[in-house]
Amino acid sequence: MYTVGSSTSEDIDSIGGRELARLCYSCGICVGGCPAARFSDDFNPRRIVLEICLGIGRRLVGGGSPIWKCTTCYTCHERCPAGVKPLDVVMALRNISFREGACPESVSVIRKNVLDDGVAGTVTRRAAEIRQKMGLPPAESDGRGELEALTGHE
Amino acid sequence: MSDASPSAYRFFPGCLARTKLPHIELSVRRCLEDLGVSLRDDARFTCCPDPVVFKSSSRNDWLRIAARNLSLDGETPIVTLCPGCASSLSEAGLVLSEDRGAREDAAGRLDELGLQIGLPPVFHFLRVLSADGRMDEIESKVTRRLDGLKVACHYGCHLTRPSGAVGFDDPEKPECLDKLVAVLGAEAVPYEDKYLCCGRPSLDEATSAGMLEHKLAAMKAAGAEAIVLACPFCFEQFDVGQMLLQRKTGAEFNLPVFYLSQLLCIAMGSDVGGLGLDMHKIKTGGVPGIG
Ligand code: SF4
Ligand code: SF4
Repeated sequence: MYTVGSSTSEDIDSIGGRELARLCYSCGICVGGCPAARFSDDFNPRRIVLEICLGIGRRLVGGGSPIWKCTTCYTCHERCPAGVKPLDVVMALRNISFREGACPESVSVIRKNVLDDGVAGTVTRRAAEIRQKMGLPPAESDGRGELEALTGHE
Repeated sequence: MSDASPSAYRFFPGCLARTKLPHIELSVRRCLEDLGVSLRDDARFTCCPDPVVFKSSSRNDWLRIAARNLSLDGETPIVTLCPGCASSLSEAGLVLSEDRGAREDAAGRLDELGLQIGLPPVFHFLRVLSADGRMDEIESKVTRRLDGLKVACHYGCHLTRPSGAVGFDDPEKPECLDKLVAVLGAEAVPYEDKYLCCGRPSLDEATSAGMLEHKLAAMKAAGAEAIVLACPFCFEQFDVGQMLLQRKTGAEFNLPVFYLSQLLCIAMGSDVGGLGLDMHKIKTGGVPGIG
């Protein structure tokens, strides 16, 4: 079961409430295995969960927030003894930041790529030529045009 | 964990390989086909979507697009060359099977496209290679052993996680790459922080570069002559990223990077010249047994 970031609980208040406050022991196990915590000085999944639990996580929304340092490695997800899924909390905060138009540019660029072309990244002419030479099928996706309709309006 | 034994799959190419790393895609297709695995293409597949950047924009949209990819064509298993695709599609499949609200939402959207929710199994190609019997088959097809080559295996994060959805190998201390490398005759050297992330998915440059440098130093210190991995993002981080890091800091690691499938093709007798190794930024020419 997903406790946060699900279709109905994406806003900061609902993340800050119920399930997580009950679940997190503040044991810090997630921090011990977290590469983003180890290789930066202001990223700490325990603290992120705690701030959300306490309803003081507003500073975590935005393009300059430490949440973007997370590598999505899922180590916290595997190890958390309370089933908190700290990565889901980070993702929910990222989703909120995107909605508020406050996220790193790469997120909007890649999202637009995917929705427009079905593929993240652009197929350069050189890449297309090499693919052809190697006998690989074209890189374009026939699914382009179908994705826009799937997204939005919750 | 050894359940990826069917011999026919739909091939899911993912984005980074199809737009930038055709040589990687070539090697994955070739080694699977050389082992008698048949692959069917489906041009309707889109981005999985990726579990890092796209998912950061909207988990709902991530789930709906993943549901579309999963639902295109019944239950024929899907094989990916990218752990991110396999992890993302597997996690989406788990959510769709466990979360009724999410499934109903996705089903409603797919209905408009004339599709019904399907949940085929999704495997990374290392899992197909690791299935019962395939190691023996590989061993019997190796004509050019890579004896003596010292490699640093890098697993990355999404090959085995989230384990509840992926269900392959040990989630934090996997062994499949070490085993495959050994079948080819190469030696997987132990090194510090072997299971650490490459850093690539962090959207913070300094965090990402710090992890890359740490891993490269550990691999070098352990005497590795090359890096072996099976993720296109890790590949870019260690290949292009290593080149940029060396340029910036003056460090000299010069550790060539191979996709496991490239080594497999070479060991099973592929013409090295046809594999596109010249596309690698860190030159592979001097690697013993390969150049
Ligand atoms: S999120 Fe989990 S691992 Fe992290 S402090 Fe809370 S209980 Fe411990
Ligand atoms: S998923 Fe993110 S928060 Fe969790 S351990 Fe990995 S880097 Fe840290």
